[in-house]
Amino acid sequence: MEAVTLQDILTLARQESAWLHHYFIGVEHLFIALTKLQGGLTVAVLEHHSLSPRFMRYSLRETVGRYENQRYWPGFPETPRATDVLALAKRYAGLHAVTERDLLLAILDEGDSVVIRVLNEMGADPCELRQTAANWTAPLKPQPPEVPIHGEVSLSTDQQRVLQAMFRDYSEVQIVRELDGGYSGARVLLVRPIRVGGFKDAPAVVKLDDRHTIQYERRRYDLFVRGTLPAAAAYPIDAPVVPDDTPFGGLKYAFVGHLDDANPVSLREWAVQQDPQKIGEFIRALFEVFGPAWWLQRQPYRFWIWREYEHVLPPALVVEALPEEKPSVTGHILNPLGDWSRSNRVLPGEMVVLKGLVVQKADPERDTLYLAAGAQPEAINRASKVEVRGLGANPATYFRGETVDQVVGRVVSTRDDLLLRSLQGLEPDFDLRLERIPSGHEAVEDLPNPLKKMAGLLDRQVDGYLSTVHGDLHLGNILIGPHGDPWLIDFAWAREGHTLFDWALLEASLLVEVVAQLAPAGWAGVWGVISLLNGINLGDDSVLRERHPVGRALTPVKRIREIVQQCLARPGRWNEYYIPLALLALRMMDWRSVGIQGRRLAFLLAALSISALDVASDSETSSGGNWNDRTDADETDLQVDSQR
Amino acid sequence: MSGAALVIMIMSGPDDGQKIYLSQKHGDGQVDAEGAWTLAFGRREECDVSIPFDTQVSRHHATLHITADGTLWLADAASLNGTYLGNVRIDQPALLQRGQLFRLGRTWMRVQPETGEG
Repeated sequence: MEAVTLQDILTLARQESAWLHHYFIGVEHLFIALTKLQGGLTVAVLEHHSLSPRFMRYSLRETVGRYENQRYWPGFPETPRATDVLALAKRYAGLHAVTERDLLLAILDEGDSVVIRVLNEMGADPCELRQTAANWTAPLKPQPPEVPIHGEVSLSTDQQRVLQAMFRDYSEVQIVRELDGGYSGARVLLVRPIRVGGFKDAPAVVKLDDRHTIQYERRRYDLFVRGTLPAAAAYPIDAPVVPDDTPFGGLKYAFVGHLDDANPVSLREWAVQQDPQKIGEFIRALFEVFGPAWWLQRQPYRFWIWREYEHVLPPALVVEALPEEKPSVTGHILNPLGDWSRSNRVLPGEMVVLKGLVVQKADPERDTLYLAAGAQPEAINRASKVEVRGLGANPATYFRGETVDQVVGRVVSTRDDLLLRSLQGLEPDFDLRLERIPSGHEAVEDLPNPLKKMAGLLDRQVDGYLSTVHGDLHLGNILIGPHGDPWLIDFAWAREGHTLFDWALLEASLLVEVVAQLAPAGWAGVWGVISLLNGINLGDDSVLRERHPVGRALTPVKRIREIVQQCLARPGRWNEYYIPLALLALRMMDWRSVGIQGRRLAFLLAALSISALDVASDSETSSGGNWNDRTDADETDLQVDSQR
Repeated sequence: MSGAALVIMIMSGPDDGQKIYLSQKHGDGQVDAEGAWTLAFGRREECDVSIPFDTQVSRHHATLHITADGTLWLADAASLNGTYLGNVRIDQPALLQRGQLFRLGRTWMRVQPETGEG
């Protein structure tokens, strides 16, 4: 447990003072605060002298009396005597932080306060108490006060502890609701902290996640976000709170401005009730607010797709670890960023030796270690993802960022296996092994099977721009403020990366989480959405005017495409967008928080994007301009395709 | 004793620990022909010892007489909530020792042993 700080004591003192309607901090409030520290020195000393802390509080309150509820000044000023006592306590503490003992000794030594008079009245000798306090050696376990948490959201004990620690200075915390954050295991809550004295603070968004993620998120924020946010954006104000004895940590985003009545909602909640036109306008506003500091500050960037997008896919391999004491085992040696992670070269059942991969996360409950190329959230560091199972009783001994010299194991599944399994979960009505998926709508041709195309996509090279990106811009991470201002949260993956990453993710998220809900049931309904989207791909905007709600619901997608058009490295060369869209859509096939229609749409979106890509590539080839994204990499791609 | 001076310390409430320095030289209080010094206590700002934030203190609540030989007499000035010496409500002027606590409304105070001069 964290040590009790002077701040904790002052908070308790303010609570006491507010309850008595005093609204100032006197020595009596400080002392009452000390008697409320369960397991602390003051309680121990009083009890040692047969004084009940509770009776002590009662007597003090009786002596000073409760005032009328009338405030004459703001805040909680200290009385001159309390100032003297605190200064004395600081002198006792010297270079260290003031402890409960310092403050207790200071109160007893000052000698003239109401506290001393009440102690005398009770027949206690302050000098003897002082003696006991100064010489106390028995172990103590002071508990910081608990802040009451209200709200209808159920939290684990650990999560509650983090929330308590985050709002230690407040008299209570109301959880307004859970912002439906998602799929990563993080909890995102909208809370209303209430200060001692009854004032409500502006609502804050609190993110609770594992402690490492929280600490990283704060660092990413400092690196990429701070200083780029417009005045109306969310920003974390406090250092992350990571109590020593829980695996969780918390980060608080407060909002600028006064939001007394309006609470922000996430775009995910908002979008399902709003007119598509309005959603489109909001997305445009988001781009205009954040764009100048982020996506529009860009540098030319020619990159291999896998460097920016491999990490969004499932792990390249799932490996069952073998005991270390079998050094004779030989197998494929897999180094970070090798092409093994995108070439399908390594097959299930084969032995592999993983060398020099870095721990992303250790999950003792699943006995799984998540490895990748590097530690920081730059996209390339998260390539070469491998899940290692069965490392034994204690994967918790690994820490994030640690380089693991060597792990020997047998491949259990490849990325293809994992994707195939996800697809099977969608109850497909077609043969998964086909090169092309038979069309489910008369207006659309058969589409390429994304599972067959994925490896080829990763090995392409495209021209794009590099800019600051959010890195996880799905609907849940965008909030709508009271005046319709866009706010972003969750900067854990903020980085310099491919400019279109955010927009492809946002489009896929919008389709999968909002539009798919409007589609009729079954694969046929999803194909209907795909046919309309195909219209947009082909530049046919008449679909937006369709009477059917799905057509209108695509309006925001059209707005996103207009933004993308503005951000394309080469006007009209949409490969730069369709490839990311396809890969991000494949990722969403695994989003467990999304219904089956959404995940089906994700799969077909990947397929449609790849088909659009083929068209685009063809036109590029035929145009024969001096710019061309069909590079050597594309030749490889073609070869691979022809081999299958 | 035209140079008489006195220090009063507030012993409770929001001003707990505050010292109030009073001296004839600075024109505090009234000095009569025999050299006795009278100080007014109350919520009013014009009082020599003003206690603005205690609603139980009357506008003019009590007076303190300091005779020429330095003896202190505390008297209630028909206050609503009374003046107390220790725990005893006084109905006529009472002899006050330096260092002894007295109370107006809910505000405790005392006359400090020191003079505050020099």
